[in-house]
Amino acid sequence: MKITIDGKEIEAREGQNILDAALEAGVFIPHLCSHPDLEAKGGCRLCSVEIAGQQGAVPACKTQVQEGMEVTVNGPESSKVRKMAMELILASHPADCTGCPKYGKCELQSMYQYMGVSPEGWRKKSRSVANDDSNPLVSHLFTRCVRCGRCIRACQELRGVKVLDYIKTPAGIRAGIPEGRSLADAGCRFCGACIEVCPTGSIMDQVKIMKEERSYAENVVPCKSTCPAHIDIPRYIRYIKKGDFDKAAAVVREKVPFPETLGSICTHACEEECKRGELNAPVSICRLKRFAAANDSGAWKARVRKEDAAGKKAAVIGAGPAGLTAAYYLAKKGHEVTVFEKNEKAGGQCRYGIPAYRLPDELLDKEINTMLEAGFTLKTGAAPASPRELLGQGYDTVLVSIGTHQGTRLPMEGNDLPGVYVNADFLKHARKGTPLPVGEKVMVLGGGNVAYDCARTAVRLGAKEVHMACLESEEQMTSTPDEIEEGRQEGIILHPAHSFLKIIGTGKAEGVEIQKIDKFYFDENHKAVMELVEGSNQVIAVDNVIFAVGQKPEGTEEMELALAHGPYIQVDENLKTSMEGVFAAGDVVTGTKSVIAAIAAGRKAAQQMDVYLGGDGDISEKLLDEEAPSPYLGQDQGFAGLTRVEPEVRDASLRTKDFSLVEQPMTCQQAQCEASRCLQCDLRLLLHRPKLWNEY
Amino acid sequence: MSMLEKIKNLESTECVVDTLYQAVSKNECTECGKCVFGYEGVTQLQMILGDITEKKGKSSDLAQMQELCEMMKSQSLCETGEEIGAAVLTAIDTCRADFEDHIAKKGCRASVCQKFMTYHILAGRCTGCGDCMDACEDEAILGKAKFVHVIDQKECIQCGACMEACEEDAVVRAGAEKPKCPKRPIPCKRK
Amino acid sequence: MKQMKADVIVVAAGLSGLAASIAAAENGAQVLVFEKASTTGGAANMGMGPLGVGSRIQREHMISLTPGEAFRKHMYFTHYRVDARMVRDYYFKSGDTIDWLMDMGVEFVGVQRAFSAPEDTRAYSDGEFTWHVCKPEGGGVPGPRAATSMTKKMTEHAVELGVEFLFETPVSKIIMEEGKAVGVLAKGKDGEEIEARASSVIIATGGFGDNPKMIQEETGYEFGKTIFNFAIPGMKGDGLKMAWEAGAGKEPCTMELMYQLPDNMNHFILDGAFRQPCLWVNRNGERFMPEDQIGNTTFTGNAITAQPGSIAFSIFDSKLLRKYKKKGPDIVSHVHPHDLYDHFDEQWERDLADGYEPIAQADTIEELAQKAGIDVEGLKAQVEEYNEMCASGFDEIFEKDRRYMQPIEKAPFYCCRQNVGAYGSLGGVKINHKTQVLTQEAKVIPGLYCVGTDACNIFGDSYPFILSGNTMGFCLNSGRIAGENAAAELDDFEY
Repeated sequence: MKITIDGKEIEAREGQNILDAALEAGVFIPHLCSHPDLEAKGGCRLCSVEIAGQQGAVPACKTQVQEGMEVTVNGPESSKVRKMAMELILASHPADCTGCPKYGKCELQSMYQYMGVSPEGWRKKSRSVANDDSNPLVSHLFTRCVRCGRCIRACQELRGVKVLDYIKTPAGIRAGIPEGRSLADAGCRFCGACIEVCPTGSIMDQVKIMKEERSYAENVVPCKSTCPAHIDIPRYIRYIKKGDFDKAAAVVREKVPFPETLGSICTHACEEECKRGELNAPVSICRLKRFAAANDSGAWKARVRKEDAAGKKAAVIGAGPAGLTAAYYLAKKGHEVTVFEKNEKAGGQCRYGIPAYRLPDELLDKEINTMLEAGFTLKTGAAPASPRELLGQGYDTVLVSIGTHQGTRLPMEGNDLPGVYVNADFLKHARKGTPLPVGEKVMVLGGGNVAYDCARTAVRLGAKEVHMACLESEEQMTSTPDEIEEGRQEGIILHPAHSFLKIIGTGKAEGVEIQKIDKFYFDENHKAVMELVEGSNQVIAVDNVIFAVGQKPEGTEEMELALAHGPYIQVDENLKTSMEGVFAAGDVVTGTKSVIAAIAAGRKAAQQMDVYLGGDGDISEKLLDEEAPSPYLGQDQGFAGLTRVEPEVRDASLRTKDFSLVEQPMTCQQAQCEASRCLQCDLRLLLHRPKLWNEY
Repeated sequence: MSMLEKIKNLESTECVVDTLYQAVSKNECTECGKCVFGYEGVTQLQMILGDITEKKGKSSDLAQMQELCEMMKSQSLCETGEEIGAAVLTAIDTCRADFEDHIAKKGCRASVCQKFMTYHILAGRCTGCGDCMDACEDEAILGKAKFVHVIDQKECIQCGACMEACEEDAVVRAGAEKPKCPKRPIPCKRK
Repeated sequence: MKQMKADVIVVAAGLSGLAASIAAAENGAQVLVFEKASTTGGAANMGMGPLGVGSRIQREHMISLTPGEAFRKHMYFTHYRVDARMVRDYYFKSGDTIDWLMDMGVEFVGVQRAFSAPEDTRAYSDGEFTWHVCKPEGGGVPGPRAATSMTKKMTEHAVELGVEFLFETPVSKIIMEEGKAVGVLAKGKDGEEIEARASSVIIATGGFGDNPKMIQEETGYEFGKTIFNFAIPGMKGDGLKMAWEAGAGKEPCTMELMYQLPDNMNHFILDGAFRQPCLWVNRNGERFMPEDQIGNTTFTGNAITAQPGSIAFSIFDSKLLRKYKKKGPDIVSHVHPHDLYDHFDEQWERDLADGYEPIAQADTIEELAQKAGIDVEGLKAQVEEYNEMCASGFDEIFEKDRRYMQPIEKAPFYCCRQNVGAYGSLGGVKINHKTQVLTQEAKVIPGLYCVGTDACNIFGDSYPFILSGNTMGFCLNSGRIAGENAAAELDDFEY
């Protein structure tokens, strides 16, 4: 139907109210208590309008449109109502906006800017309430509440959580939690809908969780933005919760081709940022991914991207996670891709760096085979030619993704004695089934996850006493707390905050001299500075020493490519190397990082190489239909206290005997239970943000 | 009794402004908060009426209340807000002179509003004992032993403590009509 | 990455950015404005109006202050330690800028001053009538936020001129090519990366009031410890950092000082109640300024800064409190509610119960000093001396106005700590009088302008309160100067 607003004819739908119809048609009417996702109540009267043939002003949000209706926004009556309503609101709202964290993004501020009214003619009322920052996620600053009721409607009706309500306090009525309870005790689901709909600075995200370098959406869903591949984490967790495991797996597959591998060994930076972690412990995101992947029937395969042959050839040197990922997506874009791998099997660090008790061969084989279905050629055991030669052989583009497979031997006395190994060799031999000989006592030098891989592998190879020494204190160590704990269970003796002076031995390694560090830090120039404790030297007698102090690329010097920081390949922001048509990605560029970072780099390489080959660079896939999640959450009294489901781990006494898996995947029940702990931070982004006057 | 009825049936000992102020302060709108004109309207009425009873009324207050109450009548979410708007309007219409007296600081006809009352010490009854002076926290009483004490109206805050302290019933409260009293202490006649 | 193009890019849509955009667009430039917040106006939305000298309204009100006079007053106030040419250009343009705004439909209620000195110091530091206070829509008395009616009119006018605004889209970097500014990198609210190119970039981001780290590094104050400034969200120093990164020279940054209570919005009644010429002492219990001057927030802020720990204490007794309740405050502030003391007890009791840390109440001076953290012997001696001077009716130390010589003798005693506050930061980016950004060696960086608070280096060490409305005045006029110059650079005529 048609109605006119201020003489302008607009289209409206049966049953719509005037405010919605106007806003939809791009005509601005001031409003405060109404919100696109909430039922209108008509309390604020800022949207007052006049209707031809009717006396007085009516609230547009509570008046249904009728065919031919003639609406005047700024008639004498409606303007008077609106002006007084705004003045009354401002008369009891704090005058000093400069201290308010919402300044500049405040709907009330925008509304009074639009209306330009002043409350000075009225008596002022201060209804101050102490700020409540006791909750780590939500900040309550109810001195600024204007009683629009949006948070209450969002909490009560839209979400069904029923925590917020109008409450009576000595300073007056305001939104709040009845009976003085905390959010957690009242059963808050921490969905953030109240924050999202609050037009003032009364309910806000805690400042410390909103990082400046991230955009608003990235801050609201930090798990997704922190993941290098930006997997839609809340979405797949929601599917797991519903028991829709196939869909959960498809969501993960939209961004990464190795879901189960990642679920087993990912460094899960997402969990560090999970907002649940502020309440008690983060959602077990990584293990849920493993669960989803393990319960995947492959239904997503029917919907993968498969473009027609584009007639271009691409070569990938190195079949690690970065190279395989790039090959996988390039193949989907219709390119003829060949991956060259000098080892006998593909997988890179996943195959030769990570011990089998964390990631078994069969799992890796299964996932790589699935990838090969995309239609690219994998040549293993093939010492690849240089990038220039490959270009000469008719490849249109080449990706170098050979990773960092050369271990570092620190320059110290005795570092070349027999019985002294480096991490890469040690782990690779163990993985290939031809382990390097290990004596009774072993010392691992290093404090990262790879050091633990070496130490725990040594335990499994029969060493009776395994030591680890590293420069960092236990709090500073880069290995995950899980790893440190499991290592402890397996009897590894940790010497944190120790410097390694020399390896002692005649003819073979016999011991390591270490000394306690008082202070260890990096100065302004990122140079390591160490202060040692005098007289704390000790020699630990060992048969073997394993260096686990970093790895670097091998053979990059011969590639005719510009290098940076030593052997690393230099690339521009589009991953292009100094040689036309040659790209590089993964650890060989960045230094040893995580598998998920390598996958993200592989995806970026595929996009850039496709563009280089004349494609559009679009590798995105929709492996399942978009489904809007239910905005309704319902009540759950003990939600804040739900504890993290820990997976079943084999007993230390058993697991040190062989290389079989340490950690069992979650059961369906465990997974669904864990998934229900998710705060669903993404839900609030589906709420509509009211457009301000300056956006019309 | 509804507010409107109360206003219409005021006793001569009741002050319309005070009655209205009490009624507004107890109004249900102060317990709700769901609409701007109901809640903020009542808040303003409370502040304006309160000020008027405390001798802090402004000449613009009547017009402002009338304007506000017209809005409350038509723009409140429920009848409570409408009723209170109507009651205040009726009160202003029917007892305009009372409001104006308060605002012009002339006085409270019913002698209800404390701030309009003054305290005086009757010279014929004062024995010059000084009890009232001891009771006054504002040091608003002048005098010395055996002199008739005098209340300095500029300093007096009408708390009534002196009246309670005086055993001779020499301190009296007055509305518009004030008793004749000395301007400064004079020797007592009464022993 | 999304690509965009324009003649002039303005970074942030506060008052200076709006002025710059309008001025550039009026002169034929196609303008793109990136704003981090969702509204225009920035910090100006909190203010009441700008400075102008020689405007139509001033002439109508027979205010005879001339731009030259304002220039000389300003230069004497700052001891010629600032760019005289910039100051000159600013004041000589400021009257015309008011007329310019009025032609856009901005209305002013009149010209005021924000400060009026007590008679005995009037000769040294009185406020001039330069403050053009904006008129609320549809009339009414102006109060804080009145300037929103100006920023709204400016926004509308900018849109009419074809200026394009991108909201919630912060700029992260100035793109420099061959020593010239050629565009910016920005990020949309959903994370979309934008590369926008233009002939000129005007930085107008409003300083770093909301960046404790920069406050510490650039001015030495510790936010929440030695300073409690307005931390308007978003004022992170983005513009300064970007300009410096692009090669801009550095000018010393200052904080625009005043004084206030921590978290003053939730304790506003007390914030106002203790701003009286009662007894003011430092941590040692010693008086440090004539209390009749505390209405001058700039000088008082400076004075508190100079005290041990950068704190002061305002003290009155129950007799004084009764007096304030009965007769109103000795010094009336235009910011705080008129009936402060009617609500004093309520807020005081609540804050005492909540343990609001800056306040203390006690029945003896010793106990008060202990609770408040003032040197006990020092305060006792000071109160004794002060009370004696009150009795004799003359302040031998500072010659404070004798009307305010009211003793501190009747328990309970009330004390409130006063902290250094500030409106925000001032200055930092080196510019010339055309608002072109300069390197440390004073060479112009082509294509780069910086205006408003980011480049407000003309105040010297203190806000020149004698010429009221100066912060907004400089924002408007520097913005306008930049917009005009940036547009002028586009002129390459074809004959």
